[in-house]
Amino acid sequence: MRALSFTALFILSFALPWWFVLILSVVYAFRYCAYELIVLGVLLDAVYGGALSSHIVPVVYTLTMTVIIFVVEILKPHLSLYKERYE
Amino acid sequence: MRIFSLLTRTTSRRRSRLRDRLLLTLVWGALGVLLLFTVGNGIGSAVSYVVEPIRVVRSWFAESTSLLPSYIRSRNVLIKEREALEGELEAAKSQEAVLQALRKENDELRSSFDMQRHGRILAGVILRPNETPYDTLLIDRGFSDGVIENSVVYSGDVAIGIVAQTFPRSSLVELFTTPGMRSTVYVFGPDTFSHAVGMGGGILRIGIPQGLSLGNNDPVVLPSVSPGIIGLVQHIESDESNPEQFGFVSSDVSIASLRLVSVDSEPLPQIDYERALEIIASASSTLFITVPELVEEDNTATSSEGADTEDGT
Repeated sequence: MRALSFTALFILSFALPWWFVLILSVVYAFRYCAYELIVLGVLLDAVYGGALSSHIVPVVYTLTMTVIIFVVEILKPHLSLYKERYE
Repeated sequence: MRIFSLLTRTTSRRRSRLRDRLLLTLVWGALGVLLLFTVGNGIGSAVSYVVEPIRVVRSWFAESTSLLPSYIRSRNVLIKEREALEGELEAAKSQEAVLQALRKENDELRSSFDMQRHGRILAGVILRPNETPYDTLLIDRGFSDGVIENSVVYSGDVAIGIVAQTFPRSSLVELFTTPGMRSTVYVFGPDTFSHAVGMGGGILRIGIPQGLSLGNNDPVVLPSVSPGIIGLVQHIESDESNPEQFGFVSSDVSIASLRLVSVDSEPLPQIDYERALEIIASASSTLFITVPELVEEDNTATSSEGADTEDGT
């Protein structure tokens, strides 16, 4: 299920606008909190950032995914949905 | 003793596990950035081959003329186009309103400029009825601009009043419809002179003897000026027990929205009867078109018809 979700997220990331990708990534992070999101960010930056000027470092997606996972990790203990895992 | 943290809502063991995960996240992020800096182009080329089918599908939806993409696209395009057109329509309507106002002002200025070339003084209306008491206007030209008391004031070709009082930079105009103002007018239709009395509110009342045919839309002119059209008869009150029938005259000029007027540079002249008739004849040629009568040539019936005409029956 996780592999299927990630595959769908991968395809949609290249087919849909960036804000849609952001929303799906947040949902995925809350569901699985897996580090493959950072890998997805790297791939997105590699494909879309290649068209950018050399003056700009294309790390937006990578950093965004890192921040998403970071925030999810901090928020999880405070969310009742995940509290039972910690009890 | 386990220490419970209020911030992380965990004990020290769980806190250390959380710290490890956070650290791992940062390491992954740093690795990702490092990869981008080192082999980013290579990764991009490789991934481009993989995502090519996705791009093909996306461009198919965006550009293909097949049934499904064109339906989805045209619907979206039509919705956007309709919203854009609605916005443009609103903007065009407001621009049209502005344009109409400008055209009207331009026409007023042109006609006033024409009046100026005929020796009249162009003046702007500062105050008008409802802002001033009675039917009076305050205009922005005074005796220092050449305005003289008792000169006629026009709106286009329609005479609307007389300059009652002049000041250095402004003048007070009494309209013919000011309550109590009396003037001598000529009424086409019954073709007779009459006294006109101002009733206020833009209405003039004329009295015509009973027996003369007074009809609606009969023009009323001021015989001492040329052109001196005041207005048309709008309403008639006729009581056979009264020796006089009354017609109420108003003009098409909307005094409440008047902005520009022209003032004669000479005062209202005192004229004699013959001069008044000349002016009336001139106004008649302006107001009416002469249609030649069709006369049947019948020699046998001419003499008896002529006698009847002379008798007036």
